[in-house]
Amino acid sequence: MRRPEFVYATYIETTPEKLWQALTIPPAALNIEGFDGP
Amino acid sequence: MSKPEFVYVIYIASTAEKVFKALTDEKMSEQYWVGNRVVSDWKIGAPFALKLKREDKDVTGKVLEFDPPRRLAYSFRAAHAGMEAEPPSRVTFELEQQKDQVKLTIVHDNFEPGSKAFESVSRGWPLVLSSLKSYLEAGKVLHAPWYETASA
Repeated sequence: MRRPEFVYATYIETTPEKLWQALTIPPAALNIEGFDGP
Repeated sequence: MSKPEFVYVIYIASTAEKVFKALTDEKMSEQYWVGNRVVSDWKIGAPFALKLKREDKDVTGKVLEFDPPRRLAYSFRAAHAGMEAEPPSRVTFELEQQKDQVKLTIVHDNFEPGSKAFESVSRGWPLVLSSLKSYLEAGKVLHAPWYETASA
């Protein structure tokens, strides 16, 4: 029996840098007023 | 070997009516479906076509289910890129309104083992459905660089 695995692809109109930020920066660490992304 | 099946779920901030309309409207599909157009009168058993902008042979099929704004299904036979020998597959859309958003589930099945069409649509659907989401939510559409350059 094969081990289950979930794979999903989505396309987003943005830059890798902005997407990386969104994936990695915890909301609490953000200075919301000074943050102009993602 | 099991029969391949493509399943994709995407949430869209819209209404089921608008999503259903976009899935069945030729002009709207041309916007988000990289220039391809869905053409049918959407009567059960009537012909369905996906007019491919960059191929000389269209995808053809028949309308299997038409239950706006909840369910839509059509058979799907690609005749380009060496897929003409394969039997038709089946595309089913299910729309579920959840407050101010729609859960859209697409199942594309009835492929033969080793189907080339399965590989092709597995690559295409995420782009088309992401583009549909961007189109309905933000009025923008997405592009398929590999697709546009491969056939150019």
